[in-house]
Amino acid sequence: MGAYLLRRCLMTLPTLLIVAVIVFLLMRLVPGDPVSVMVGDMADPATIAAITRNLGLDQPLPVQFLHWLGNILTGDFGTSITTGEAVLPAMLHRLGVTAQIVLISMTLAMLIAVPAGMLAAWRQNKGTDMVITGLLVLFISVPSFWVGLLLILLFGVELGWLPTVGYVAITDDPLRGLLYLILPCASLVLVEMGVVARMMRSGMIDVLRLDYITHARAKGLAEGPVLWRHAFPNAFAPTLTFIGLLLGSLLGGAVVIETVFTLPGLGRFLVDAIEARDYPVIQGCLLLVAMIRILVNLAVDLAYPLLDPRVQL
Amino acid sequence: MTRFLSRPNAALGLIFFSFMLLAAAWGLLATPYDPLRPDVWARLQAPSALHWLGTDGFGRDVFSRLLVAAWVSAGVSMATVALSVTLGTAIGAVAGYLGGRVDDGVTVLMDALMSFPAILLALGILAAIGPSPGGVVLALGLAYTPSVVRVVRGSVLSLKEREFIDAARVLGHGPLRTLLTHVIPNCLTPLTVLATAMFGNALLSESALSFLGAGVPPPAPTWGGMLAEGRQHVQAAPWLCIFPGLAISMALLGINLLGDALRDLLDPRMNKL
Repeated sequence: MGAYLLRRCLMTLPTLLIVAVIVFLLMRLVPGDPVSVMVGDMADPATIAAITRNLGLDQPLPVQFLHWLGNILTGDFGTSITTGEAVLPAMLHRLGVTAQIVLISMTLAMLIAVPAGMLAAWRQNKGTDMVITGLLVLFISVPSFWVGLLLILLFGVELGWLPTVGYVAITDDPLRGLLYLILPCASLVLVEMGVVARMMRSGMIDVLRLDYITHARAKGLAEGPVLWRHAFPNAFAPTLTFIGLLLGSLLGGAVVIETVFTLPGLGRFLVDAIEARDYPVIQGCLLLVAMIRILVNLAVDLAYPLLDPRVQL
Repeated sequence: MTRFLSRPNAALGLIFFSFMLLAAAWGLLATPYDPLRPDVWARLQAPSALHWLGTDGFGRDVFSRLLVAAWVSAGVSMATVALSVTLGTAIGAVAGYLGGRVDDGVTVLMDALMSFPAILLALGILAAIGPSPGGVVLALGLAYTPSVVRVVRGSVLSLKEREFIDAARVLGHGPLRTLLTHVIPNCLTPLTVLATAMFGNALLSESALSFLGAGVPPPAPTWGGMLAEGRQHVQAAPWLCIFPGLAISMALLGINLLGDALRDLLDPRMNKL
């Protein structure tokens, strides 16, 4: 058990290293000299040469990489070219906004999707199942950013009930802060619900075919306890792994939703940085998201045996 | 084939997907108006007999632009799938067949690529090389390659131990010939299922990237780009936000329904979604 834990944790190190190499090399793909891109074409050659030397860009690539990696490991992600702020604190601040949307919408989606998936599996191939699976395939086919636009159109423009753009920190004003989060979260809930419920349904169908379920039914147990006490824990374990993976990719989906609702989240930070060619911020955001995803996957892997005792480490 | 189409979701999926193909073909042949020519006298007109789906902020006909965008999106998505399937099959087959160091290296690299959400990796690549249709294909193609590698490598690993592969080797077939004639044809079933899913993902991601302004650059019409423009006129011209999204959703619904039906058919073990 201990050995497995250690091995699994160590296995993430090469992945993290390659991720860093990819992020580093990606920004070297930029056509032309990064310094003249940063300061503009107007600067005189002497200034460009000075900045190049300052940033260490006259060193060979491997040296540059090690230098950069060393800085990252000490928490120095560089400074933004456009605003001059340190990248790491700026990212963490914005990550808070993104995390709120992702976690709230995922919690809501799970609360609806898990029972819906179980119900569909229980009534497999019957009318209820057909209706649910039909709705689910519809949900996963509608892009979240379009749902966001439609919600803005309905609740913001037509009805005028909810604010459509901007953000108020929940810590500053809980009630207004929550109002600003309703529409962005609602846009993400549909698609998340679709994916999670489909996963839950297929996991549940697998479990309901097993002998121990037949046995539980044969001994006269009511359907409620059979489903929730016997089938649910085993069917939920794979779904939870999947939700872990999904949380990571939601950091990608949040990019678009944050743009629709002009929320100051990590995704919007990245998109703005791309428009402004702010390379330290682009690198920082990509690296941070990949790191979060690797750690979430690690956590899910390690938590799996707790949920599913059949899995021995 | 008839058995496939007798399934309700397959038939329905085919109908929805045909809409997209029909629109793409129409957009390729002829459109009611020039999708690129601005008309200052016809800005933001509501849907009418003249302009079926209204006009946008530059006075361009929305219906004509939707048709051409279908062609752009279908083309970009198909090219993306082709790129990632080719690249992923080659890498996965070689890694799985050779094993050892090569396999370890490929696995670590693919794990690293998979740590990025596909759309963020694509955004990063596009940030470096600049927005263009070719760039979108390259960026998304690379982002989807690891999932193909994973599927092909897995199939090759299990196939490699089978007797008919040994037989081919005994008959004197070289590794390349064995891979091409015996191993890869046996990966086609999972690859078809994966490719259908990837086509839908590519379509969605291309729309999202173009919506963010990082995908296919204007003035070329794309569904995502049209939605981004619609967002600026959400008060004055709500139809600009409705029709492109409807087009994306219908195309995706068709692909997802077809994909589910295909998976049920090709992989009866999974017959439950």
